[in-house]
Amino acid sequence: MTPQSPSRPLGPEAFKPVPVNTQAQEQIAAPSLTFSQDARSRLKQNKLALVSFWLLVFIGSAALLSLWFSPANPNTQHLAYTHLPPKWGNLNVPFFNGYRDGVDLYARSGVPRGTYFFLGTDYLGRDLLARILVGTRVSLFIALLATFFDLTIGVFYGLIAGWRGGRTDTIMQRLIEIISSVPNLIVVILMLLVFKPGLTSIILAIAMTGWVTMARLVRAETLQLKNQEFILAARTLGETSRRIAVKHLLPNLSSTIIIQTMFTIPSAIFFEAFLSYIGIGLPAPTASLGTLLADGQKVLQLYPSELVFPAIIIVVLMLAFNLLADGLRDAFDPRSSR
Amino acid sequence: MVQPTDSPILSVENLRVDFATFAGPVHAIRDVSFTLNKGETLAIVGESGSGKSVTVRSIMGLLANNARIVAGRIMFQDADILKNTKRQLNALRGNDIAMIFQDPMTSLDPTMPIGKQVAEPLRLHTSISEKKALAEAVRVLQLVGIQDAAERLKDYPHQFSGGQRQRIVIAMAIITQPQILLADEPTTALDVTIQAQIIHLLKEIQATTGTSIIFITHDLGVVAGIADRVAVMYAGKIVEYGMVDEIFYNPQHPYTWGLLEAMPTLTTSADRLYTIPGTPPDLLAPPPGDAFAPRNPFAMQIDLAEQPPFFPVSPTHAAATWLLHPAAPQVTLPPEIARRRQIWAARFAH
Amino acid sequence: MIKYVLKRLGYLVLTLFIVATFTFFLMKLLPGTPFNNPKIAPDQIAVLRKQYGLDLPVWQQYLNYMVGVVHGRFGESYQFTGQSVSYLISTRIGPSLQLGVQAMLIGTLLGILLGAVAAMRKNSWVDATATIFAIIGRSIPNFVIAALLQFWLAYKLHWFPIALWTGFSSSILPTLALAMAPLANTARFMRTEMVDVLNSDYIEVARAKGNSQWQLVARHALRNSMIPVVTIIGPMAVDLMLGSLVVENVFAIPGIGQQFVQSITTNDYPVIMGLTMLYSAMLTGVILIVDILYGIIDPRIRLSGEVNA
Repeated sequence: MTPQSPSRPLGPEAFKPVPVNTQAQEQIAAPSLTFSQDARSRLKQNKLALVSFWLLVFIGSAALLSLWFSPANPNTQHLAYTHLPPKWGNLNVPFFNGYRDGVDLYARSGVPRGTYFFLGTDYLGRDLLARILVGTRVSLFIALLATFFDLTIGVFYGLIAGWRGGRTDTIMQRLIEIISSVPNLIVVILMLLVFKPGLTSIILAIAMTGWVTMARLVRAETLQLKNQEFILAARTLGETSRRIAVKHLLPNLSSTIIIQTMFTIPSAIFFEAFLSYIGIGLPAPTASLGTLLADGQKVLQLYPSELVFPAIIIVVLMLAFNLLADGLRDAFDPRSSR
Repeated sequence: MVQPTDSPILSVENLRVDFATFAGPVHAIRDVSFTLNKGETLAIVGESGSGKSVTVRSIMGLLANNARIVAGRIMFQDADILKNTKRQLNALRGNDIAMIFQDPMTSLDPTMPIGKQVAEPLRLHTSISEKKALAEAVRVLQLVGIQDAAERLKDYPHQFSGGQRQRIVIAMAIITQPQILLADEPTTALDVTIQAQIIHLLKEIQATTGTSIIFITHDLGVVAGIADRVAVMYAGKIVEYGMVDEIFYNPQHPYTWGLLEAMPTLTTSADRLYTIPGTPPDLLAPPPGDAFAPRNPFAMQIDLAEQPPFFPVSPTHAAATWLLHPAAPQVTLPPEIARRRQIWAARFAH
Repeated sequence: MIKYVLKRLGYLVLTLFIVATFTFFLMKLLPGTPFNNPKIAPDQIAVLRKQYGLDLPVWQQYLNYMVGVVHGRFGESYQFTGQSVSYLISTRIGPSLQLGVQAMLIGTLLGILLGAVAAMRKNSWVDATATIFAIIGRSIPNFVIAALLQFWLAYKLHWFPIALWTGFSSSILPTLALAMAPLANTARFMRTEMVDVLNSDYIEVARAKGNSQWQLVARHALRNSMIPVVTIIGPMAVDLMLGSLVVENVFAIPGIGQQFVQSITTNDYPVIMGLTMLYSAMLTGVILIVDILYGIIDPRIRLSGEVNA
């Protein structure tokens, strides 16, 4: 704080007045973005989430395309070719050259030249790659459909409970408490015992138990939104409850719903795998990631690759869904990101 | 009663602080120097973003992770605080220099009894026993005006009101009898009546312990009640400093004028309160001249081109404005400032 | 507080009553009984039906069952003739509880440590590693982890027993497989909480008091970040119970998880019902304990006497 004297003499020009120009400063440098634009650009910056997204697209389309372009019929059994190791044509890649413990098993089993099993065969001589593709498709189908029901029931339930409030809410909350006091999978198992194991019953069973979390989240958020000014304004203007729900509540709930959905899909994949794994999922010979894992587990000590390949797919799927869900949540709720 | 002195206890010299952002370094503090004398209260006044908080945080070593001290020294007890190791810094914090924060509602650990929290600095900086430290906490809590302090030691922060919590925060800061108290807007989050009580309390503490206080605020009304000297900050620089009366009745910088005009007084008769037009500059690329120029109705060509140096007004008072240059034209003062200057002149007439 | 606990206990009993009723009628709906075996003669079936009380009207069966449940009797196993469900469970619950407790302890303690270190070294390689580990731990199904651990550490490297229950060493691999999910969840949750807490004002105040980084964490940050972590113990207990169903099967551990799966494949309804009740009771019990615990460790809730369910 030592006072200084001016550095040099100044001419009268220097002391001419200038007009106030506050306008120049008020300009905001960044263009304004809508909420979803903002979220999208943030998502695009998240490399992991982006990679996950494209990975899911790739796995999904591979599984779908295998409907028409399958490397082999997934259910054709070659009892002569059981437990063959993977072989990639004539490429001599270790582990993928048809040898196990130094023995060319393709030659020993008498596999004709030109026949390869890219990921080997299972205990019935079925092509593992074809089964994994089908299994992935089935698992994804179950997960997506179950999640869809889950979403519908959960959002509807949560909206009603939150919007109506009062006694309706109390009763609906008690119901949720009772349902959630039984472990989810136990309910699924009981359901599966009542219905016959199969695609439909698995989807139903998963959907019937999974909606609780969604309902809770939607209810909590609705309760919060309900008391905000813009809803109050809509009410004052005489909008009907249904219109408010559709026009004002749902758009505001959308990020919560999308994020929760993304977390539900991997857990549905896990549920299916789990059920098939303990033997009450899909009946043979239907392939799903769960049944493949169960089959692989039985021969793990002799042919580990039959467990490892489906395990890799399920881990990659769940990882990708989880990472994408994390990315979405960070994109929608910047506060939660690091 | 301890009187303020002229011997400096802390001096900040040519401090420059940058914040790293995605857009580039933000120059939050641009060459700030001041001294704090023993036993005095120095108020640093400025609007949000002017760098007043960053200044005291630099003293405490509490800057955010993306902050970088580019230049300067902070001298305390013949040593540069900025050169301290982490360990030395921790020994200093809460012991020789303590800080009072803005929001009492969030300044206290919600899961720790207040007795323990108030005694914590003693436990950290001395080898005193827990029991003795708690006894001392009771004494200090009583000093700051907490009723039944002994019975309330085991209570948690949520059981106290906002004003009480700020008293506890102050008790926490003064328990080690620090030489310097840094108060970062300690009254902003409080009701007006409580504000007055807290300021009175700080004055009392200062009178008995002789501690020096740096008081940060954006509220000139509060300054009048507590400060011995005032430094006005704008856009990372000090633009004017002086004794409290000099700032209030003989202000020189147009920004100080703006602040004083914007302050409601009993004699303000206008229908509308005055506000300074515009917003502070973007410190990513600070203007070459006086940062206040674009908002300054008295701005001149030189203001846009070159930063004004400090022009001394009295031995204790200086302002960084080209208006004080001998060659500068006389300007017509705003009425409120003219009124204040008259009071100032009348005082010297006697 | 006592009133609150009593009220919660009341709800717990009501919930269990509903669960029991629901399971009972669900089982009545089930197609097929273990007596549908064509090898059993019709008159034998009649004897069996009488022995298990299945010849009575449904409402009387229900009444009998509920009275039994109140007295801690859950009927007799169809599969193991003459063994009561309660006895069957009591012989098998030991290993399951041991695994559950071990996995919970390892999962939460390591998870808290990992999450805290990640938060303290935010955005460093430690943080990145912890985050990746947490996401992977969340994404690998526990039965896959169990199978892989078994293959590598037990079968290939012979470090641990491959299967069965022969003492502490056989509990290590299943515990690890079970602990992975709670560990990942705790670490993730802890990191988020701790980052929030470390950014809070009172941590800044504590720093200004002269606390070193470690003192800050030990005295202030850890406790405040751990309080919310308690809330995820409930969901983690569920994960553990379910995990035990498969993990016990992979390692052939004679616990209730393995028994449950076995009972499903043999249509042993009384055991299924008994275990469903047990699982529900354990889950509601854990949630109740967690809520009470939450009230005890968080002073803000303790004194207002209100716990958010």
